[in-house]
Amino acid sequence: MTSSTPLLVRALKKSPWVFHVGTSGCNNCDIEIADCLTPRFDVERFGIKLVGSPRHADVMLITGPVSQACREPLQQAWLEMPRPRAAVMIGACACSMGAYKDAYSVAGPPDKVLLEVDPDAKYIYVPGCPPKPETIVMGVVKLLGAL
Amino acid sequence: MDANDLVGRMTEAYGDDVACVARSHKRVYASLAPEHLLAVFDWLMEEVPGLRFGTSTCMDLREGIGVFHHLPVNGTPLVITLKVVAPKPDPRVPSLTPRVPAAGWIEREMADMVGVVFEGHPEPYRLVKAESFPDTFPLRRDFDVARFKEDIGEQPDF
Amino acid sequence: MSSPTSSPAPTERRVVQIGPFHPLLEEPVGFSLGVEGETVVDVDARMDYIHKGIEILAQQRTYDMLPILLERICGICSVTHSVCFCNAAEDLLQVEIPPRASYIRTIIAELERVHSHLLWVGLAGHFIGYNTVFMWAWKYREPVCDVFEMLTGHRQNSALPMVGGVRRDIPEKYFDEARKTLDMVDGKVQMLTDAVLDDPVLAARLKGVGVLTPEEVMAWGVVGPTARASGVDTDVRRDEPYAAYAELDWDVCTTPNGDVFDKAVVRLLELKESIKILRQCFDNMPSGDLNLGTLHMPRGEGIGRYEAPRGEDIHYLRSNGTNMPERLKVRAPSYTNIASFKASCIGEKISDVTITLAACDPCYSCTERAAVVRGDGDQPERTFGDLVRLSQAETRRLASEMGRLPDLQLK
Repeated sequence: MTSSTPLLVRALKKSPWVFHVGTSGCNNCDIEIADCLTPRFDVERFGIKLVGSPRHADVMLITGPVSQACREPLQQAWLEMPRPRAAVMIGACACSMGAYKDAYSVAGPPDKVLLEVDPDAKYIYVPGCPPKPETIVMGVVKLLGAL
Repeated sequence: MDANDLVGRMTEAYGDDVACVARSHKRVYASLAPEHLLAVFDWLMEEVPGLRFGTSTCMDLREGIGVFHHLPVNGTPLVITLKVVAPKPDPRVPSLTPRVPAAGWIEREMADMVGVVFEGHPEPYRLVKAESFPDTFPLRRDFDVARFKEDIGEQPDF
Repeated sequence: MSSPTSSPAPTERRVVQIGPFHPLLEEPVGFSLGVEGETVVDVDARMDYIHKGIEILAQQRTYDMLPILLERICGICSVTHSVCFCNAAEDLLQVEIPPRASYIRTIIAELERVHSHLLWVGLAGHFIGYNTVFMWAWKYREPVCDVFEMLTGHRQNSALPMVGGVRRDIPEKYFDEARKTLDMVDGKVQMLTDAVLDDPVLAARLKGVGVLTPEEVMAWGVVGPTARASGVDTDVRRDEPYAAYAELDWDVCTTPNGDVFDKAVVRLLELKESIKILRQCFDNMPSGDLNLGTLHMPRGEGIGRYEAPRGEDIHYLRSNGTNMPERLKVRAPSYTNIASFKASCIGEKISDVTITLAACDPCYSCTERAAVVRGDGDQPERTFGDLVRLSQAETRRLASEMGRLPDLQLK
């Protein structure tokens, strides 16, 4: 975050574009993220928009523990994001591995995987299995407040 | 088709080659040697209308690698399980994929997980293990998660 | 649709990568399509992005913990896997669960089917460029999740099923509220069904696309709505009644053609049946015990079957007499349905592939639950978005040719 100017951060807070990465979760959190876009929660009214490429995104939403196969794609997607950038770890698995702590094919929780390539990575945790859409929206809002 | 009826007909057709038992009115378990598998499967496909390939279970047993094919019958509660045990140093089972393509993926998965060789499989590549995966079989009893993570260079605890 | 002969000259064969990350696929999955010109000639799936090794984790959990773990196989089929495991354990034990428990299981199973099918209708609408349908279907999915939360305390993961019954009761004081929600959803499903059946653009876009013949269904072991759309009459709820389905009045829906249009129609009709089942459950809820108490699991083996929203789920359970299973095999319905892409996608136009892939409601978490693995370093390309755009453009082209608005007219 050191390389970003205050102006960029302010611009990001007005309308954060988010990119969603499911890293081998059970897809429950992923569905709740998609739920945030639909009429009841409709995060687009706050300017939060789900985009299809990490190059367009300001905030990355990460769900699930990172499997061995997903590790490099996740790191690559993170490095493609322009600064200032931040991540939201959504769900128990992304926060602490949850039920999959002992699984042999899991490389680690996403925060550890991100820190491997970017020691300055900024992120927050939204626990829950899965967190309700309200909680996810609140998590993103709190992240923006903390930037 | 009734389970007891099927057991009677299978015993009549194959005698001692197939040890067939009806655990309840909806579950039939038949143990057989790998060399009889294809013949018995063909016979079942012909005799039992609505039979389809459900899935297979692989297991590391004391006497060898067990491959259990579960065959549900559409329209009835019946599930027929064909149990084959392949002796261990070099477990080999004939592949059902040339007969029923539904068996393709699960046989590749079983080959990945316990190391059974399916003879005659048209696509004998890995399905669930990437090429760089070490040549171990996660469902074998001697598989140790901690040692595996050490081998591939993971921190054991984070 | 298009045959290889209709493309101009024999073109070079290329490979299109789909995945692993895409905002609407939700889950990482890798497909490689071999294409010649516009026509798909080969399809292959890469199955290692989601592997967590649940079958091995299951061997380290007690029977009481297992339904909770198995709910986490898949978010949208959470009731599916926990009840299917209970069916397997009850087949091993040869016990019958108390009537109130079987009604509670039926209620949570059907609520899950309703919200899962609504989710599919929405996604299918998005893939062909009908974003209004996406928004509407997901809007009416929310009240169903609310009912689930009122009854069980959670929007998807109820943690109710246990071997020999259910863990907790569901409060009957919310049944009236639930009935009201069902009436509302019933009306909206009727509206969606009418809109889909009446829309000429949808018929032109989806009829004859991604056809599975009954022979292919049997050969590939296809299950659930995908099989019923091809006229194969199979439904575990009727074939091997678990929970309370044997006592309730409902029908198995089948359609004859096996194309994407019929797969949508089957799901919409099933929504109506599920709502009918739920109404009967709320009206005839028996009283009595919730579970059989603590059970000792003897040595033996059992097979559980369950009709998930996507088709037949099979669990094979083998016990060695201890409090943890010796082996638990999980076969989710998408496992066979996704494999059948080889039959349904080849020969299609590339703009039809997205909706054909989506038509069996693929659920990758379920499918890839057991394996493993180490990234092999290939660079994933993110072109699935391009495919969705291609698919939506095809719908817009058809709509403008027919002089209609490029979206479904909902009344």
